[in-house]
Amino acid sequence: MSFSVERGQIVGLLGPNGAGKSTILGMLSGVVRPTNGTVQIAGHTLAGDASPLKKRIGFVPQELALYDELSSIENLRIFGGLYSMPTSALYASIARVLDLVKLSDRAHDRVKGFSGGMKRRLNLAVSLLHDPEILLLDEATAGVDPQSCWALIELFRQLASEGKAIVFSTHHMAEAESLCDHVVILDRGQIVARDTLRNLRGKANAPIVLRVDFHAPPDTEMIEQIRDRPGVIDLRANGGHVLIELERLSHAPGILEHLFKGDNPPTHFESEQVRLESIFRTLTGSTLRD
Amino acid sequence: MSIRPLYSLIRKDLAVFLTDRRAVILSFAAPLLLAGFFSFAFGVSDGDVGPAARLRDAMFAHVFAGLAVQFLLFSSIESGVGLLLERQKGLWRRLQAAPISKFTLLSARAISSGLIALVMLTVLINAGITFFGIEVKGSIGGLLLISLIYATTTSSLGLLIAALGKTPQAARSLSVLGVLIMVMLGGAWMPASGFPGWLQTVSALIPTRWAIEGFDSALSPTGSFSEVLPHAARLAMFTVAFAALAVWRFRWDESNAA
Repeated sequence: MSFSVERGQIVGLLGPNGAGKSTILGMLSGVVRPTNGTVQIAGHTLAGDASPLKKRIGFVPQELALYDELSSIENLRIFGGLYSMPTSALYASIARVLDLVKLSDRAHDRVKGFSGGMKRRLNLAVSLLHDPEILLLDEATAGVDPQSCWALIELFRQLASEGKAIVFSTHHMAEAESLCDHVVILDRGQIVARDTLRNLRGKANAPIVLRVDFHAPPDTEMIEQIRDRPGVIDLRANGGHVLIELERLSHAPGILEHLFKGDNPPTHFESEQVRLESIFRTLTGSTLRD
Repeated sequence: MSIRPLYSLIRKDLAVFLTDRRAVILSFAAPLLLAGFFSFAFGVSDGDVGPAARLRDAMFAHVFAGLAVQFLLFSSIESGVGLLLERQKGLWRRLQAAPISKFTLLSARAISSGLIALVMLTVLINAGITFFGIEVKGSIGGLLLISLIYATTTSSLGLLIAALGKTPQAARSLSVLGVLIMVMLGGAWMPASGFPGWLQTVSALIPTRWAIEGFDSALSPTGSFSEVLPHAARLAMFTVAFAALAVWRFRWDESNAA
């Protein structure tokens, strides 16, 4: 398995549960030892627990890996010490990362009293202390409210703009869509797609969704007529609007022409862009994963 | 092995211990309260100097040593279970991502729990001397030696608990049972010299036997440094064996962990 992440780039690692996202990030960070093969980053092999390559990597685990009974600053001091940072550099770095994650005013407070979003931000801060070039984020926004989630996403963007290479695992398509330049889609431990979002949209044989609005809810006869037309995969009517899933966009003109000829012509229509979620479902299927 | 990460981990262990009210009470307040109770029950320092009083004093010194031995073992359980709790909380993933080895992690835990054990012994012995009439009649050097060695034994036992334990809950339950057996067979509740022959043979395989006999020798008026020395040597062998077994069995790599 191989994929590349440039400086300043955010690559999304996507896949259903059990696809191997956490395992891959674990192997890249030295947390999980591969049963076969080696891990190579920037031409260097990650070998041994004390590999110097680890100093170039910042890992944000999915769990809130913090000592709850200690304060933010104590947590940062402990984890920074593991990277053998000189005291003055460590203290400067602690001030920098606390400022970055907007926790400077809570530096001396126990983590136990923090909200989920604050803990997530501190979880990120810990991984930034040694100023790594590569940042591996394993579901780094899991379990936080939308405000905290978007604050974290803004932080990731800022870190990328500062030149860090970021690998971000998630199964939230909206996050990946808004954040990632490239995506790597995994399924059952294998890469099933690896490209920019634009290219994936072009390549994907994903369905197109046509949204049509009406003055009055369309009657059953009309709905059945549309459903029977060629190229229609599915149709969902909800009051005055209908979502028509099409095999290809080229099927849309015929359907619209038919609708405009009727007694209840559309007031508005639009085709939704192929969303990452559709590509994801097309590539990995919709079977429930454990 | 780099010193800085080792220092950070020791500092973390000590900070976590000091913020854990339950661990502090179990380590300091509980043995002192029990010592106070036994001091009252044995009527130590009531001014009587006859043979019966001397026997009572000797018995209380033995009970006091037994209490210290027992509570240090409880502290070693907390140390081992603490490591397992860190794994359960996902903290190992964070630690493993840092450039530190399994040896650094275990060394830090051994040093920090050894330090806690030494502080516990210092507090208990000083409280015993100051408040409960304990006298070091045998050898102060012997007392220091057996205290130091026993602190290392309990810290290596803590590592072994972490190495063999699957979950913190299971490790705690089995370890408490193990400690009670060790304390009983080691002669903390009654001197091993009073055991039947076969049980004395069995108790020779229990480290607490040598810790208690070492403390007894250091405190007893008939004891001496040279009498403490063989007990300390046997105890040191247990320390080495526990530590070696812990390093061998400890699964740092999470992919192999339970």
